[in-house]
Amino acid sequence: MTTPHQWRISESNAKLIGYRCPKCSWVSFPEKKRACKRCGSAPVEMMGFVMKPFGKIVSFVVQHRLPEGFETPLPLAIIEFEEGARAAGHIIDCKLEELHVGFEVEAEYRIMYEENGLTMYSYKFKPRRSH
Amino acid sequence: MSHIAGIGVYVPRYRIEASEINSAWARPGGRGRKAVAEFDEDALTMGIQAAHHALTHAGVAGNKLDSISFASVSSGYAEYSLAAQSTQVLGALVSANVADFGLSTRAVTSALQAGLDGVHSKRISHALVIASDKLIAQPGSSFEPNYAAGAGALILAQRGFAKIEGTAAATSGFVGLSRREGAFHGLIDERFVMQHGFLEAAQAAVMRLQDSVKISEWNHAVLQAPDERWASRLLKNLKIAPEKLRSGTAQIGYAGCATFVIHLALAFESAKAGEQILAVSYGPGGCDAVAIKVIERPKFSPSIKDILASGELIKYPHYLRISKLLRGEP
Ligand SMILES: [Zn+2]
Repeated sequence: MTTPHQWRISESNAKLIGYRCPKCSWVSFPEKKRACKRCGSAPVEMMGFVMKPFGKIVSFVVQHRLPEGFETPLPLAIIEFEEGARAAGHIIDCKLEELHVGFEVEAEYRIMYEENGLTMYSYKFKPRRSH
Repeated sequence: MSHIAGIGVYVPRYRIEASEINSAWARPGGRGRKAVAEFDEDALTMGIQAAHHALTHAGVAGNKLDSISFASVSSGYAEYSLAAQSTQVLGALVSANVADFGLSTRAVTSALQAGLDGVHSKRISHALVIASDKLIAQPGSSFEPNYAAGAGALILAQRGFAKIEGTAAATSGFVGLSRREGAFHGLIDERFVMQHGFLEAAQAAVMRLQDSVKISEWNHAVLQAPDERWASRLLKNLKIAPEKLRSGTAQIGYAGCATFVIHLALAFESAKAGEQILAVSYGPGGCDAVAIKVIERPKFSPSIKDILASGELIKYPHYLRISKLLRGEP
């Protein structure tokens, strides 16, 4: 069953919906915020829009020691979408040597984990190949 | 009649050669390779990729879809709507029709037929048909070198680059395969099934199709069936030249429902305007046959041939691990 928190962010997660601050254009993802993290405006009515599945690596770490159930080494990165929103995500379909700050990636829907027999999905990021 | 306005293919990144699998089991030889899904890919994730490609190919936005069908024999669930899950991710409206087709690889043509009926009756303007399978054969079985993963998707509409000229079915009720949930894919008494389960039904369906559609000549043939040898038998019996078969089985293996759409994309890529494609889909109990006329050869970027030919080769232990077939004590 979908949990309430998963449900709140599932739509923006599934469709890559970002929320733009009308005052300073900062983009929040995946949650719609009532206060802007950049300009501090509050309360603020952020506008939802569908982001493109493209972005760049801002920073990354490669995880080598993880609990059972994870593939290692597992690169985890902060991604900045073209629209400016930032998100943390797994990097997939990629050789470790290829990774660098500024590396262009695209979002792809993948399995995240399994919980109570239900598979949970979200976006991971792979090297950008389409345009 | 309904048209195909877009077609998309998704093949996972990894490939394993049949000879690599055979050598692990101390068997000689082996021809071709197959596509292998990553540990975090399943019928849903691959299907969504193919659907995105099909929408882009058709130049149609997700919110223009009135109908989303999902055909798969490997969802792994007894209850769970892959079509409903896809709807949100593809940005379709909440009012879109959703339907799941399964229990037989013929589900791909059942989903196609339903979409065609909807478009033909003008109840639906854009129908998306997704076909996706991740087939996991028992390690060491004769199916292992061929049973693969992949996805394809079609956009059906009033206009498009190809026209569906007709469909025909033949259901004999011959039981070729039954598989319990969670069991490995591929349990079949091949020779007996090919003759009675496949060939007789396929020929009957094609005969019926030829009676209803005026066909001067089939220029391309496409078959969704678990064994490539079945295709050569069928073409021989139908007196269609073997070089008219469009198949990617040697590059990516057999991926159930998805194979129908992937092979169809190959046929479109090599077709000329005005040519006729015969597309046959097998499932235990019978066959569906579809006649498709190419109005204009669609462009693909990257080409379907390149998608099938690309990929990264892996070794057998890697394959077992990402297919979740290696289990050890923690
Ligand atoms: Zn702001």
